Amino acid sequence: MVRFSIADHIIEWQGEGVKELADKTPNYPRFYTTDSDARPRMRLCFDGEVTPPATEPLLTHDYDLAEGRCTLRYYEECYLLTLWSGDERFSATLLCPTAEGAESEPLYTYHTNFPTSAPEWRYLLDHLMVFAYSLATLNARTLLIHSSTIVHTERGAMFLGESGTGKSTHTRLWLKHIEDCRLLNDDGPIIRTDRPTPRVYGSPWSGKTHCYNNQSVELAAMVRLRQAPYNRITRQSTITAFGALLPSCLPTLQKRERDLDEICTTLSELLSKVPIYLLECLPDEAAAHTSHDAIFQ
Amino acid sequence: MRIKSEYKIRKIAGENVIVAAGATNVNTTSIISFNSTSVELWNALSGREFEVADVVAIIMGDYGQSEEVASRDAAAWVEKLREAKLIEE
Repeated sequence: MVRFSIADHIIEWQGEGVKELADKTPNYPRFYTTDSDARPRMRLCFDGEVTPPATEPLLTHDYDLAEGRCTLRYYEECYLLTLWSGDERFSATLLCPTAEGAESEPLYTYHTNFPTSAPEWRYLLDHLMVFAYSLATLNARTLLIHSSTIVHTERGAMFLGESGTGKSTHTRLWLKHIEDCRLLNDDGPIIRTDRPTPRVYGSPWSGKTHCYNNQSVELAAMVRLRQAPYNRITRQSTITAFGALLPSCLPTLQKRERDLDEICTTLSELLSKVPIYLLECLPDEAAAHTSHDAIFQ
Repeated sequence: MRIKSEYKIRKIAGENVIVAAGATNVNTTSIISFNSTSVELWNALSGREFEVADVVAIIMGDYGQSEEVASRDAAAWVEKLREAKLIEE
């Protein structure tokens, strides 16, 4: 067994060789915890036993990944996620029954037949973990938000936008031109609103950038990026801000009413406490100063 | 006509919104914002068959509008819902 603490949630892997599996990755060892008393939020059993429900799924959602494809089936009482590697020779199935325990302290137990022999096993593992983690922490006011996140004077600024908008480019400009900055995470940081002030946490999921910081800071602002032939930043109204944030949350958890309810509750808390901006920008130094001045001055 | 059962009003930081998920992926999701009159009409008409005349009756009854004004507002409201694909005929 091996335990991680990700955004202060205890995650457990069970099964033969799980410690060796985690040790082979660059990202998970940073999140090991020796805390053996805390109750886990999620348990992932690498036991090879996945028995899909006998009933028909309520809904089936197929989608492509950069290195494979997925089918997610939604049942009344569980989810069944199947991932295929790029050459379709390997598949991993993840089954999540309904959580056990009190509503305030649920334990989500997943079972998987994860193939460690697949060439893309690390990529598949991360995808599977992101889904499992996001689902298990959904009603704990926790959300993984697709963004590149910078820390400046020990407060966080998250930059959101569709793929190719220049999130990473923009945070690189901060690192280069603004003092007292570091990158917290470049792809999948996690926010929690069940804190006195909303916080942003580093995670094991950082896209192509090896930036797996197990740290958290107070969240100062969130900024939606849009490419433009000029630099301009504007504070967004609640409705526009909500429209800017929702597409940066996991799409697979927006298909079902009860999941979307949880996402909306967390976003609602976030929007009432944290300013959201739209930054129309060029990929230049002035863009970094424009967003810095709006957020931190 | 009927309000599609999969949609509901959610309260987001004090605003009333409907999240209308796209058919295939999230990029086509639209967010519709409702004022208090729209919320009242929505709640009164959800879960049942209705005609524009029912909307007119609510507006006349609850807001004391003339039939002429109420008819115009009701038609506009139904048209907005139709555009946002929140209604099935």
